[in-house]
Amino acid sequence: MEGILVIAFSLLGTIAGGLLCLIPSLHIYNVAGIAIILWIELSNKIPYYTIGPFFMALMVSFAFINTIPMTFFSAADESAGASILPTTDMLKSGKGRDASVISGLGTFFGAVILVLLTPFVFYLAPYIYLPVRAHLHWIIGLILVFYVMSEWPKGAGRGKTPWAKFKNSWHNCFAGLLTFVLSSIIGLIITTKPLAPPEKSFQNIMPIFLGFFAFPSIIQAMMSEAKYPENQYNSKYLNCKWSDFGYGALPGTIGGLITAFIPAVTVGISAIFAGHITNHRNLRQASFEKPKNPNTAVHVHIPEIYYQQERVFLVAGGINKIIYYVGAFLFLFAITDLTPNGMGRGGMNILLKPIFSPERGDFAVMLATVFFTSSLSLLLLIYFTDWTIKIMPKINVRLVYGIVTVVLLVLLYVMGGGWMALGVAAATTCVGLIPVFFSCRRSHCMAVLLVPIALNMAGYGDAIARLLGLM
Amino acid sequence: MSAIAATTFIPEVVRMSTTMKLDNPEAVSGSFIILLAGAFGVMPDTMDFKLGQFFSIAENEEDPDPRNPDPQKMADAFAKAVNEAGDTGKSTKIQLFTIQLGASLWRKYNMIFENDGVIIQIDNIVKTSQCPIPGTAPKTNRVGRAKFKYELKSRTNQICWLNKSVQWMRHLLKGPDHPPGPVKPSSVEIFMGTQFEFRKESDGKIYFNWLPWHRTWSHSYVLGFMLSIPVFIISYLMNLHHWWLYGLVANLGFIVHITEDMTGHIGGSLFWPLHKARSEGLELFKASDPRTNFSLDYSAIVIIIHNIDRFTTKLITMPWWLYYILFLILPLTVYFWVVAIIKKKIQEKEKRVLKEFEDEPDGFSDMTLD
Amino acid sequence: MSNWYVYIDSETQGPFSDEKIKEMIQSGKITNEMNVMKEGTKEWLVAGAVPELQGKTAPSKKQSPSSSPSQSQPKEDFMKNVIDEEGLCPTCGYFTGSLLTCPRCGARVKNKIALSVVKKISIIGSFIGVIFLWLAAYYKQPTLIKVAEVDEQMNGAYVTIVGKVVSYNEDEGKDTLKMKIDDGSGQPIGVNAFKKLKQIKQLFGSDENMPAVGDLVQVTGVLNITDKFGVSMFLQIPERLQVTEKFQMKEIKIGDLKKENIDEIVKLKAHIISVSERTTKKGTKMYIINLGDETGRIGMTIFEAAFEKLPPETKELLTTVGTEFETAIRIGEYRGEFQATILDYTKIKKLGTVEISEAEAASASANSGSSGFSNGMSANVKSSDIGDLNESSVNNVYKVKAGIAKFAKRKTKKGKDMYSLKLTDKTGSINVTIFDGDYNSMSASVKKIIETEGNEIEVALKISEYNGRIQGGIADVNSIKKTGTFDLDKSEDGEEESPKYKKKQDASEDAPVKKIGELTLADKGKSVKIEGAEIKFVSSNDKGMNLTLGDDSGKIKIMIWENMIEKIPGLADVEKGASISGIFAVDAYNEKLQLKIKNPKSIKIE
Repeated sequence: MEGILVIAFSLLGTIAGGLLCLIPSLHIYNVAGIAIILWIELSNKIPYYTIGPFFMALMVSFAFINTIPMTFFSAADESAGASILPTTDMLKSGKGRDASVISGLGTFFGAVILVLLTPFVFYLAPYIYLPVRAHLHWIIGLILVFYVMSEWPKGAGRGKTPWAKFKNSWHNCFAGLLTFVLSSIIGLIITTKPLAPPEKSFQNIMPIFLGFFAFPSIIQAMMSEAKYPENQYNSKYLNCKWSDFGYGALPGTIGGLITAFIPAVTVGISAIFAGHITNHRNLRQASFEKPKNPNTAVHVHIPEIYYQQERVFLVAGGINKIIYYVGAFLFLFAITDLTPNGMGRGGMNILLKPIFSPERGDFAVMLATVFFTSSLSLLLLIYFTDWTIKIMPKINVRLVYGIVTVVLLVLLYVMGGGWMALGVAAATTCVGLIPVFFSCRRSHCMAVLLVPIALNMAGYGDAIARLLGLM
Repeated sequence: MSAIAATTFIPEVVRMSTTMKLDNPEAVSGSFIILLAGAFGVMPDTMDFKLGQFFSIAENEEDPDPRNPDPQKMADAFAKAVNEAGDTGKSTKIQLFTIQLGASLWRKYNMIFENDGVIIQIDNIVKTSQCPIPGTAPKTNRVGRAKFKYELKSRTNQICWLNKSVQWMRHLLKGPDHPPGPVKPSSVEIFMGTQFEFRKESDGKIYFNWLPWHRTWSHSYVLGFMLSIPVFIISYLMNLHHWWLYGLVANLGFIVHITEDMTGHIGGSLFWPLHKARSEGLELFKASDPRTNFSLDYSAIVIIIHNIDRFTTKLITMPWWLYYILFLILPLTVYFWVVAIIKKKIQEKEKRVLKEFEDEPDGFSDMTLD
Repeated sequence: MSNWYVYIDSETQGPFSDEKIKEMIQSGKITNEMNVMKEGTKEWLVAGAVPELQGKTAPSKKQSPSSSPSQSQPKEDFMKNVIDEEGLCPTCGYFTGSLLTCPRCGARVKNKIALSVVKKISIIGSFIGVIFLWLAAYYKQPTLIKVAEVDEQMNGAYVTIVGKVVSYNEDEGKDTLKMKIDDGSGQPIGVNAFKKLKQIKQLFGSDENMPAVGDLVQVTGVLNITDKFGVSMFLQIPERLQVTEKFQMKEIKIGDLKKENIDEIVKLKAHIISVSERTTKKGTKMYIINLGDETGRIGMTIFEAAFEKLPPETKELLTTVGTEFETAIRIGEYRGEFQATILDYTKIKKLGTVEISEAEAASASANSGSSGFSNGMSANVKSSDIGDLNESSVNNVYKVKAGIAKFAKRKTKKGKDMYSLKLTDKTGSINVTIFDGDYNSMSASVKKIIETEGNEIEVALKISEYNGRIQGGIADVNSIKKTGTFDLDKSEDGEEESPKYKKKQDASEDAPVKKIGELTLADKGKSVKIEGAEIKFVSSNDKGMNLTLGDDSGKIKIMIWENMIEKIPGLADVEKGASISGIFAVDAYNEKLQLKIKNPKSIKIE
C-alpha cells in the first residue's frame, strides 16, 4: 500500500508540476507554495510519507518542463543565464525542438549522474560539507567579488581620451554595478525587517523574485517585435551525439554541485564558474594554416565541433539544473553519522521544513522517485515540446503574457500578502529591468539574497540594521 | 583561486574565518579576511581591463565597416602603423575594434603575420560564446594583404636586468629558447578589440608588442605592497584582532597572481615604478591551455578543503600525503589521460578536415552541419 | 520648401531651411551619417539616404567610404537568417541593441520612444523603489503574536512576542544567549541569540538590567519552524530584546515556605550548614548542600557536571560551611521536601560568614539533608486509611494511624541495617521500610515506640511502589507519635503482602491474551498477556533495558527498569531472537504504545 501511494503521489506531482511549469515565469517555488497550503489543509487525510515523493516529483518535473517556457517564450527566470543564449539562438534558426529536447536529455543524464553520485554523497560530501559550512560567508563573498569583477566592459572603448573610452565601454559595467548595489540594498532592507505579514512568510521571497525576473522578462517579451520563427516538430531525429553528454558532464556536475551546496547561488551564476573552470574549448581549435596563396589564409573551423559546443552547453545546463533543484533537495536525505540532519539546502528544503523532516533510509526511496519521475518528465517534455511548437504560431504571445501577468499579480496579492507584496514587486521590477535594457548580467539581481546571507552568516546582521536605521 | 588556496595555509586566517567557535578564545569568528586575498588576486587584471587599457591611446585606429569590411584597407592601416614606427623611430600603436552585429553576433577577423607583411582575413560571424556560424564569411573581398618596409619580430632585444634574470630562470627550467618563429596569428572577435604597439629597435627590425597595456604597471610587486598599505592602516585603525594579517593576506593575493602570471608568455612590470619595463614570461604554460586552468582550480579547491579541515573541524583523519595522492594526484592523472585521448581524436579530425579543405580549388569551404 | 532638423552634437538643432541645410552640407558640417528630420514628419532619416539631399552631402569624415547604405552591397542571403536588422544602426550597420545612439558612428539610431521610456522608468523607479522599501521597512511594526497561534506557514515570519522568561541560559563560550519565553498562550518558545551575547550585555549595560528569569520581555525576531524541532525564534539584533517589566523577586524565609511556593522564584538569604558528597547508582557524583536561615533549612543538590563548570571562587563559596549569601532560587520538591535550585551561579552575592554550631552541623549531616526542613510540610499532610492507599498515592505523603503488626531488623544486600515495620489498620496493612540513617536519627523513645509490636502510632508515610506493591517510607521521623495500643491479630503474621495487592495480582493473572497488533491506545492502563513474542532488538542503558518485541501481527517496545532486570530470570543476558511470554501493562508514550512489566514473576524467557 505504501509503495502504491508513493508511486501515485509521485505521478501526481509530476503531472501537476509539468502542467504548471508550462506557464511562463511561474517558478516551482510558487507552485510548491500553493501545494504546501493545500498540504497543511489536508494533512490529516494524506499519509506523511508521501510528502517527500510528491514534492520531489514537483521539483523533477520543473527541472525538465521549465525548459519549454525558457526556450519558446524566452522567459528568463533566474536560472536562465545558463541556457538562455543558445536556446534563443537555436529557436531563431528553427531548432527549437532540438534545443528543448537536448536540454531535457541533459537533465535526464543529470538524474543518472545523481544516482552515480550516491557514494560520493554519503562518503565524501560530508567531509566537504562540514568543514566548509562554517566558511560559507566568505565563499559567497568570493563568488560575489569574482562575479562583480568579472563583468568586463562590453563596449569596444572607442574615443580619443581615456575618459571617452572609459565611458564608451563601461555602460554595461555601470548598469551591472547599479543593479548589484540596488539589489543588495533591497535584500538588506527586507532581511533586516521583513515586510511580509506573518501568515504569508513562507512565501516572502516570491514578490522579490517575480519582480526581479518574471516581470522584466514579460515586459521584454511584450516589447520585442521579433516574429516567432518557424520550427519543425514531430521529427524522428534529434541532432545530437553521445559525446555531447560526455563533454557536458563535467561542467554540469561541477556547476550543479556548487549551486546545490552554496546557499543563494543559482544555476546562472554557477554555470559561469563551472564554465570558467572547465572551459575546454581551446582544446578543439585548429591552428592557423600558413597561406598558400593570398586567398587561402583561413582559420579553419570544424562546424560539427562548434555546433557541439552549443549542445554541450545545453546538456551542461540541463545537468546543472537537476543537480541543483533536485540534488539539493535529495541531499537533505543523505543522513550519515556526520550529517544527522542531512545536507539539504535550497528553496524546497526551506519550504518543507515546517511540515516535514527526513529520516534515515529515505534516500533510496527518493532516488527511486527521482528516477521514475525523470523518465516520465522526459516523455512529457518531448510531447509538450511538439505540442508547443504546433500551437505557438497560432497563439498571440502578448495575450498569453497578459494573462500570465494577471495570474501572477493575483497570486502575489493572495499569497504574497496584499498591497505590500505588489509594492515590493513593483520596486524590484524596476531594478530587474536595468540588466534587461542596459545589457548586463541579470543574475546581479541575486545579490538580493547573496549579500544579506553572507553578511548574516558572518554575524553582521545587527550592524547592518543599525546602519540602515531599521531597528 | 590559487591566491585563496595559498592564504588557507596560514592557520590564523582559517581560524579567523570560520563561524564555528573554536577553543582559541581570541579567535575572531566570521571574518571576511579571505575576501581580501580574492579581491587582491583579481585586482591586477581588473585594473588592466577595466581601467588601464583606456589610458593607452592609439595613434592609429581601425574601426571596420560592419556591413562591408574592407580587408585591404585594414591591412594597409596596419602596415602604415608599422612603417610609421620604422620611419620615425617612435613607438606607435594601432587599435583594432570589434564588429558587433547583434546581441550575441560578432564579425571575426584574423591577422596572419609574415616576416614583412600582414594578411587580414574577414572570417565567419561568431556568437558571444566564440562559436562561429559556418558559411557566414563573405564570399568576395575576403582577404587583404600589405607589405611592411621593416621586418617584424616577437622578442625584444632591449634586455634589462629583470628580463635577463627571467631568461636565465627560463633557460634553467625549460632549456634554451627555440629560435624565434614568425609572429603568431591573432584574431579580433568579441567584446573588446585588440591593440598592438610597434617599436623600432637597434637591429632595424620592428618589435611587435601585443596588448601593450596588459600586465605592465598593474602586475608589480611594489604596487601590490603599496595597495596593501591602506589595508594595514584601516585594519589597524579599526582595532581588528591580528590587524597586520589583513594587509599581509591582501599582499599575498596580489603576489600569487603576479607570480602565477609569470609562468605564462607575457611577464609583468614586476618592480614598477622602480623599474618600468615589462619582462618576458617563463613560458612554462600557455594561458589559453584549458588544462592549466582546470588543474590549477581543481588543486586549489582540494587544498582549500584540506586546509580548512586541518585547522578547524579536523574530520579528515588520513595523513596529508595520502589525501593528496587520493584526491589530487589520482584524479588529475585520470583527467590528463582522458584529455590527451580527446585531444588526439580532435586533432586527427582537424587534420582530416584541413586536408579536405586544402583540396578545395578556390580555398573556400562552406562546411555545413552534418 | 521644407524645414529640417538635424541631430548634431547630441542634440536636435534647427529647424533649418533648405538653403541653410544645403549650405551646412557644403561646408561639411553635416555628414552622411548624421540624422535629419523633415519638419512635419516624425521620422529621423540618415542624411546620406535622403533623396533630396543626396549627392549634395559632403563625404564622410570617417574612414569608411563604403558606409552609406546606398553603396553597400546587396546582402547575402544567408545573412538574413543570422542578423536581425532591427538591432543595427541604420547608418553604419553596427549593433546598437538597446542603445539610443550608435557606439561606432555616434548617429542617433531611431526614435525608440518606448525603449527610452522604459529605460528611464527602470532607473528612476529603482531609486524610488528602494526609498519606498526603506520607508515601508522603517515604519513597519512587527506583528505581535501568541505562540499558540503559530502555524507552519509562519516559518520565517518577523514577529514580536511578549512574555515571561521561564529559562535563561548564557553560553559565554559560544557567545550565545538562549531563553525560553512563555507568553501565557501555550508552550514556551525558545528564543536564541547566536553569537550576540556580548553585544546584548553591552547594550544592557549591567547584569542587573539583563533579562532574567521571571522578567516580562518583548522580543522581535524571525520564527524558525521545523517539523523536527518545533518553533523557535532567532534574535539577530540585540536592540530587539527589551525588558518591559523587571521581575520583583520576593524575599522569603525558609520557614515560611508552603506547597504553593513550589516552582516559584524567590530571593533567599541563607548560610551553608553542611556540604556532603554522594554518588548516585549510576556513579555520578553530586553535592548535597544544606542551607539554613534562622527559620529553617532547605536542601540543594548540585551535580558534578554542573559544579565543575563553575568558576573556582563560586566553588569555594558553595563548599565553605558558614558562608552566608543571597541569590535567586527556584523552589522545588523532592520526595516531599522542599529543594532549592540556584538559577544563576554568577549571581550569588556573598554577605559574610556565620558561625555554625557543631550540633547544628551534626544534625544536618545525620539527616543527610532530608529532614529538619520538611517541618513546613507536616502540617499540611492528609490523613488516610491504609486500605485507601493505591497506585495513585505513590510519591505522596499521608498521615496514617495504624497498629504495628510486626517489627523486624534486616540487612540490605550491601550489608547495611534496615528495619521493616508492618502497619495494620481496619482497612488493610502496609509494609514500611526504615533505613538505618533514619533509624539512627530517632530518639530512644521513638525507637522504642516502633519496636513494640501492638503499639498504635500516627506517622507520616511517603508512599512508594516496589515490585508492584504499595510500600511506605518514613517521611518524617519526628512525626511518629504513639496514639494507643492495637489488638494484634496473629493470624496475619507471616503474610508478606497486603491483601488488597494480592487481589489485584490475581486479577492480572486473568489478563486477556492478545497479539501485539491487536493492542490499541484504548488498552492503555490495562494488563494483557502476550504469548511467545520474539525479541527483535535489545539495547541497554544506565536506566535499564529497551526491548522490541514482535510477533506476526506487529512490533512494540518495552522498557525494563534496572531494578527489575534481575527479577526476571534470563533477562540480563537475553539475546535477539529469544521468545518472551507474560503479563504486561499497556502504556503509551507520545501516542506510541509500549509495554511495561506488570508482574516480573509471570515473565518467561526461552
